[in-house]
Amino acid sequence: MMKKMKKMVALLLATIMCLSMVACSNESDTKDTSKADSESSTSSDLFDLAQYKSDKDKSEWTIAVVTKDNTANWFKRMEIGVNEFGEEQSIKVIQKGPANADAASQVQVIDDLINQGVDALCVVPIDPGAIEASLESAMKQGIVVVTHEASNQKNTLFDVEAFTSEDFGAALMDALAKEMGEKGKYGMMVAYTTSTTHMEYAEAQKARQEEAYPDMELVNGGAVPTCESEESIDTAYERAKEVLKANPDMTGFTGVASTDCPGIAKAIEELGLGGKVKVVGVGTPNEFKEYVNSGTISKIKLWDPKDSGYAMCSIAAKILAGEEVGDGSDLGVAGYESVKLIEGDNRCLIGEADIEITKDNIEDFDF
Amino acid sequence: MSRLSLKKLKKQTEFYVFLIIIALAVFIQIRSGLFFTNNNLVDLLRSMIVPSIYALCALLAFVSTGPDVSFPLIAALSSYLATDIATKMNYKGPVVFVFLIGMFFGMLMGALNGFIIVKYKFPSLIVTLGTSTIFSGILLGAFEAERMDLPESMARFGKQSLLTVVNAKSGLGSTLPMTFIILIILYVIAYLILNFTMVGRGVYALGGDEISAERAGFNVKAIRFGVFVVNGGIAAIGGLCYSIMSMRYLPTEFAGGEMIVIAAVILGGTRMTGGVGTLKGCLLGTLLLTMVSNSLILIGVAVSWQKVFIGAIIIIGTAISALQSRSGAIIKKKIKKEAA
Repeated sequence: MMKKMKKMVALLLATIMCLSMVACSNESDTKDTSKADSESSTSSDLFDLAQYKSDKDKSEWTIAVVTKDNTANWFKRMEIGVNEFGEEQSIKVIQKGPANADAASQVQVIDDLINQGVDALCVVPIDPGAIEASLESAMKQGIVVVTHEASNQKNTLFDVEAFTSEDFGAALMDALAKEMGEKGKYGMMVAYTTSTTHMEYAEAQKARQEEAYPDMELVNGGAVPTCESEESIDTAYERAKEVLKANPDMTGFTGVASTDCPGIAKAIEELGLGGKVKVVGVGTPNEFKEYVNSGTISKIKLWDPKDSGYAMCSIAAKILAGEEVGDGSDLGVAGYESVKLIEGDNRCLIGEADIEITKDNIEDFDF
Repeated sequence: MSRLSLKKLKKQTEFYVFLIIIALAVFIQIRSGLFFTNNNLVDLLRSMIVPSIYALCALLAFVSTGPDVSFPLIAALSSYLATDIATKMNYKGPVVFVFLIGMFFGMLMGALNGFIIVKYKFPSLIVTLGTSTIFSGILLGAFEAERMDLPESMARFGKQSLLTVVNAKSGLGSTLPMTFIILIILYVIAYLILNFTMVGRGVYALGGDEISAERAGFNVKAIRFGVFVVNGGIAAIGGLCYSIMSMRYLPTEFAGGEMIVIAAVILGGTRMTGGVGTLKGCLLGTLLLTMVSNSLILIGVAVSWQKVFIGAIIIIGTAISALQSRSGAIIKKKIKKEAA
């Protein structure tokens, strides 16, 4: 009896391990089915803004913002903007994040919010492919869907970006090139190779380097990206150390997730490469302060999540109110006063909201 | 004599894992020329610290009862509480005190696991899955844990180093943190208890055959409950070591760590059905997986293929040891038959 039970437990455990391993490959399946679904049903209607106009009074709306990880300072800063919008417009706003920073947990949060009957979902996807089905079902129920940092998300009415990935990636490369004296080897880190925006930044950095800085070279024969941090500072540290060991002659490193640069900087300081390897990356001033002040991280490029949170809610509210949204819309916050509309995989609203932080101005930003 | 011991070795899973490790090390050295350098070896030891501590939890649970998947969340919650309390007290004294607070909470959480498993005879996998979800909810929901800086006592401990090496050729340095000593102490204690005390033998007896263990006079319930309490304490130590090594408390980085640890322990010869497993195997399994995940960039495996590589090593490693132990069993049967 006991033996049998143990065998069953063993089997169950093995199954769970297998499932967790194939979890990634499942994404592509869901993407395909959702595509097939939307083609067979009335796909054109799903993206018609007029049908999302709410009959309810503004005070009864609920706009839900779903982040990648609510414990991160980045999204706490976003919450400030989200709440600011809620107070200014007297609209109920809530911000939620998954318990773990993984795609499956985020799907859970989105599904829960759909069941709670929110009026609008503003999502910052961990993995756009993984949440297509959930977002599609939300839109079928008449819920307004707006995304951020997901220019390839199909099931969204609008994706809002602070700038185009090309411009931002190029700006990152310009900053790094300046630090490196426009020559030498560099590496780049992203959170996951499935993080769309991160990969676009990475590709754009490389494209800019090839175009403008011929004396610079991406390590590993130019493979993009060089490594993954998996949204963990410790993993970023381990991987950076490995890359630096394998390429002792490199002099530059970029990281685009908020976890990347602290890990890279820690590795550089420990390896004794401070000053020799320059770091430029994306992240929050507070978490990077120690390394920016010590000089290991030269520059932070970013946008203000407070403003993008505000902009997402603003778009959602405009759609609920039946107002026009498109090229030239004013989202009521700095950098997004006249957004540019680019139609690709989805309708993308793009602002001009990038900021650069160095040792000199880091004290002006408290997040 | 030497032939005899070699024969004995051949029967042990650990021996095969050891062979794989040697082969892999040589392969990495040939491909990158960087494996056998002092800084790389120290880096490897550093990376092994936390997984090896967790591996103890997995080993004790498997040997005595069954899988325990709650240790990452126990680690997260107990190290959060300890870090938070030390921060609020503005505690500046020896770091031992912070560890004691963490262990207290960890053992409390472990006791909850143990209580449910022993009292209601539920499968440990289900119970620990459930409690981890609860702990995760408490951590992120009730406490709204966020990334935070460490209190002074922990930060000071984290900045100390046991050993610093500099590679003369490349000029690259590496440091082994003090937490390595904690790992050694834990394994020495575990070795002594598991091999030289009645309670330790009881842990194995219990997992081998519960009824025989009871008839042999072991207090089965007490031992099983004790294992989970101890597991909670060990998990807390692991969690604090992780925070100390990353110099920050990072609430969302713990969850999900259990699978690779369990894989490492199984690789090291621990049987999922209980009663079998060694500390040596634990360390070797962890070493193998740490080596693989820390060397893929060195040998130039493309980012998108790295997970395939890790999965393949897990399967190949487990298959080799499983086949080997099966063939051992067949030989034994043959001998029995012949004798009959």
